[in-house]
Amino acid sequence: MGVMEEIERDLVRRARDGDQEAFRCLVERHHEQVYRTAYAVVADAAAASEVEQDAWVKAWRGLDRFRGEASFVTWITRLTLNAASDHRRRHARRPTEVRLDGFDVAERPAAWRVEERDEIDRAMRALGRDARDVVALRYGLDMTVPQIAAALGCPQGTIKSRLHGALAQLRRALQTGRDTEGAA
Amino acid sequence: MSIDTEERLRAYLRPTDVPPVDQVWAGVEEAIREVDAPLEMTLVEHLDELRSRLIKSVGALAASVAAALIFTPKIFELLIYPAPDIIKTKGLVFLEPTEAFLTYFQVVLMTGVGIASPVLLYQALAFIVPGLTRRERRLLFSSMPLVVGFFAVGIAFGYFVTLPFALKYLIDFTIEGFLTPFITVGSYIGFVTTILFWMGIAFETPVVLWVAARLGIVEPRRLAGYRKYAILAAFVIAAVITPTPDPLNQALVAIPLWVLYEIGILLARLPLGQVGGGRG
Repeated sequence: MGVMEEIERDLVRRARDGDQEAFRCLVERHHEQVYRTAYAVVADAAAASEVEQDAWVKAWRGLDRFRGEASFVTWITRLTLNAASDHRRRHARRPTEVRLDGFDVAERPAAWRVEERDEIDRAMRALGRDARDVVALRYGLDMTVPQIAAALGCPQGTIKSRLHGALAQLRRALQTGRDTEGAA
Repeated sequence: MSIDTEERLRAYLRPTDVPPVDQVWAGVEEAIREVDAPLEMTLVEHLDELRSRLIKSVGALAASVAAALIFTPKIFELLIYPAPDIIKTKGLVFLEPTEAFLTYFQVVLMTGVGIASPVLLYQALAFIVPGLTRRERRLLFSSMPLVVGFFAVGIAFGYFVTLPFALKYLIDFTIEGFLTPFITVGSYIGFVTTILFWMGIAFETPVVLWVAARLGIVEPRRLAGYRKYAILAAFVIAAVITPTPDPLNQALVAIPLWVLYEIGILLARLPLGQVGGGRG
């Protein structure tokens, strides 16, 4: 076992004993990955922060159940995906709100528009949870298929087929959106 | 899948910036403080819960005592098993009209408590746990398997080692010349159960040391320094526990106590996650 893994195991052990400082170290180590995972699912800065906080609180409560079979980062990634999914479900019935905060026009391709976000948002909402998680990890975090398989605890073949199906569905939805827009 | 669509997804799924960790931690810290806070209840709510838990405990005990009636003859056999042959062949006696009856029901009650102990323990813990902090809860749950395990080992040690030696010594001592053992059932059962109970308690020494180290009451490093006092205390306690004045029986209890102290030192040095119900 590497030094980093040993340090992480020690932090987890101490956090489980109620040591908040050790838990803070874990938050610091994985904050960016957790936030990016949350954002990749909810696609909104404020919602991603809420989801991240939710995931960390669930981690704190559930540390006793973390058996160390998977790495801590895998475990917290799953908790984040669950928290994000809960968040989406809770907000599913509310009207779609396209936020402009955290949206830096200068860093986006020129063609990027609020309507475009809305269009992708609708296409992503149409995906099932499993497919959306795979797309989120692949394009939101640039994870490879083996990494996604490890994070979700699924065989690589399943991930590949989910990704393939999700992309086909997204392509159709986005193309249809463009066609409709073009016709208008 | 066009590259264009993949690029569009990347742009959509990635935040332009990540909030500072301090901002996230502030929210998380406040939330976990609430999670950890012991549950606050009014006195009336406490009394209400206590009544409900007592009723459940008494119910479980009553059912267990009824079930224990079936096993009591077998338990009697087991309690007489460590006695020397002379007792087994001559049998125990009773000197008062109520003695046999009362002793029999004393064994029934003890067996019932034994059968109901998981329920009684659960009810006691369920009453205490909401008032504990996360750290205390974790310590309690981690120590539970150790408490039960060491108590059971203590009883087994008392049953298979201490009792046969002590009883043989005591009974042989009396029949060397003019004395004949004439032991009443009440005094025999009282003697055997007292030894077993206190051996179980004595075997909790490592758990007590481990919990004390966890709570910061003792430092594991200092425990080794207290060894000479621990050995002295082990012999004094052994002298009190064992009914015989001879050093053999005293050593038979004192040496295991000393060994238990040493196990306690080793346990106290281990992190919480590596003992009891610890995982990870």
